[in-house]
Amino acid sequence: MAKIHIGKNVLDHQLLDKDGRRCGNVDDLGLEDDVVVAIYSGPGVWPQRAGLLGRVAGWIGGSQRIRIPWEEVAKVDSAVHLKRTAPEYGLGRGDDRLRPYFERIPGADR
Amino acid sequence: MRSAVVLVAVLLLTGCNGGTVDRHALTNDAATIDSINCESWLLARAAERGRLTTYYAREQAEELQIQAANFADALAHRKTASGLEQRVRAKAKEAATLSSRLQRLHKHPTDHALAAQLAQTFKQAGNCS
Amino acid sequence: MSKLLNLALGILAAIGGFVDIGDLVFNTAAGATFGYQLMWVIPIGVIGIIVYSEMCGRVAAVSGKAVFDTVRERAGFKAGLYALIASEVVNLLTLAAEIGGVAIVLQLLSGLDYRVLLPLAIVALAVVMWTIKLDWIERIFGYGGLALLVFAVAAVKSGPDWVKVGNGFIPHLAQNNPWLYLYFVIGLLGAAMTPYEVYFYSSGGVEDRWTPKDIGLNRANAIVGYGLGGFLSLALMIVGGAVFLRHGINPEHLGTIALGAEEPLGKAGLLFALVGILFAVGGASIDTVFSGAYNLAQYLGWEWGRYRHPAGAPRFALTWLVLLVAALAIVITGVDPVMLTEYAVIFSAVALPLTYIPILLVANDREYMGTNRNGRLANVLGVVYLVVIMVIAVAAIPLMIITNVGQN
Repeated sequence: MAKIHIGKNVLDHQLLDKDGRRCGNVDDLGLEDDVVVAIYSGPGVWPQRAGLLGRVAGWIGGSQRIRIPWEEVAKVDSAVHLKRTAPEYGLGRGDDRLRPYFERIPGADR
Repeated sequence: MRSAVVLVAVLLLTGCNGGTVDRHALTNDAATIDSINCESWLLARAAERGRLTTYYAREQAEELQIQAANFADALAHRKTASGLEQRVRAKAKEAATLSSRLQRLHKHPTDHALAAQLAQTFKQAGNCS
Repeated sequence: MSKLLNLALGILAAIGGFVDIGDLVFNTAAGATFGYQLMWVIPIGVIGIIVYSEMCGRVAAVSGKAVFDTVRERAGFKAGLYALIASEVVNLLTLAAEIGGVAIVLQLLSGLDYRVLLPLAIVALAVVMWTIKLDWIERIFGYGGLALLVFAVAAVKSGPDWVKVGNGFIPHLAQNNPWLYLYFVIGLLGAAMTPYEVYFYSSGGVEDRWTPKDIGLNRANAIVGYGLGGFLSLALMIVGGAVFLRHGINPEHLGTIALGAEEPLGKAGLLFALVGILFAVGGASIDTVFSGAYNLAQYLGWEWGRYRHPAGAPRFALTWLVLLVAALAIVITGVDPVMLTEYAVIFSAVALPLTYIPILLVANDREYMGTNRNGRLANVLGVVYLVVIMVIAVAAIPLMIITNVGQN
């Protein structure tokens, strides 16, 4: 369990999965008694972080909101490294959904 | 949100080209017509000497012609401060003449003799050095 | 030897890539309006972009993070979002102006219709960005942009009053038309310190996996590249004064700028100028659209990268495709690209502090940067330019209004 001051070094940082793939950002933290117990990621979280503009952004981005328990964090350096691959958390779905379309266009896998 | 409103207001204020032609605007308009004349002079002179490509001469002449024509249109119809009406409308005529000369250059970009003739005309009209 | 060659090639590409439509328009117009009186502004702008780029490059080398990654971390979600939106809007305006510029030059070269060339240019750019490796894109457009050196030749050949040129390097305020003069000061600085160049540069550094060992080489690359690029800006201003002001011309069309090279040098001058403008503005538009996609992807934590083929970073690729289409939508309305350029440069000057300040803070952060944090020189320059940037940002819009976007 991480103390809240570590939260400052984690919030708004890049999330990287086990393979070093970029899969989102630490959009919010879940706290219990001043202790960080979870990471939240996804547009569903944005409205509470940025007022009106955040609500608009969230409306554009969708309601997705993924909770990652703090135990899943392998390492924290300039990014937050997770223990498993992105799909296992439900992260990076946007890229996964688009990829089949792009792969069909010639030159996309150069 | 507030800044967006300010931004729109600013854009409207600065983008607006309308308004009354007063003495200051008239001076600016005269300078613009001279500028287009002098640029046309350089263009025609280069055309005369065969120093332009056909496409460049044709397209650039058209750009200038459109600019002059729009100008003529605006000056012919805009409200003017009292006492200036005659001079503003005279400027409108000048711009229209400039536009038709440029139209000729645009239509015959490779006619060196025409270009030479027009070059002189533009130079005089714009008081160019 | 190979490293030196690479450095030389990188510098060449940087010179050609430094000049974009904002520089072309503002430097020429400044020369045509005030002669050589604004020469002193150009070195200030060049040093400014070197300072900004160097800091971003150093942050990228030490932390492996590009600008918007850093901005979000440092400023937080909310402030970062404002910075992102401002940057993306400015980016899109700039892109639209550049696409318009490309189409204008293509029209001058081919005689084809402008409205047809616009979507053609977009498609051509998209194909290039999709299929050609970025190294090659940089080389092609960078070397093509070197044709702009014709303006250096034209500047000399046009026989300016060199004493007056020299005097232009002494900062002063013009006696006639001071407000328009100040507008040009802002415009020249804004055109020199275009943020998208910096976003692109730092993202490139992350992709090339710079480490602290690369800092020195890349600092040299930035200084020489931007410096020589600034030299081109000086040439444009001299041509503005020696050709346009001399003949009483106020250039309002992109094609007119090429005439500035034709006057002293004839047809060859014209052609080199047109080709140079085409490659410089075309290359700039690629940098701009990638920057727009980088910023969004970095802020949101998506996978990104030009080396990450489109299938590897689908949302990133979709972003730049959408940006191209959006730019097309703006410019196909028939709005004048030169006017659009002026707005883009002024607004980018207003938005500049939003990303400069977080970077300056991070570059100073001992925890983040370790021994590579700003030394005394970097901080003196960094703070001086912070003041410059804040003054420009605050003065830009009022001056734009007072001078009616430079129309006076």
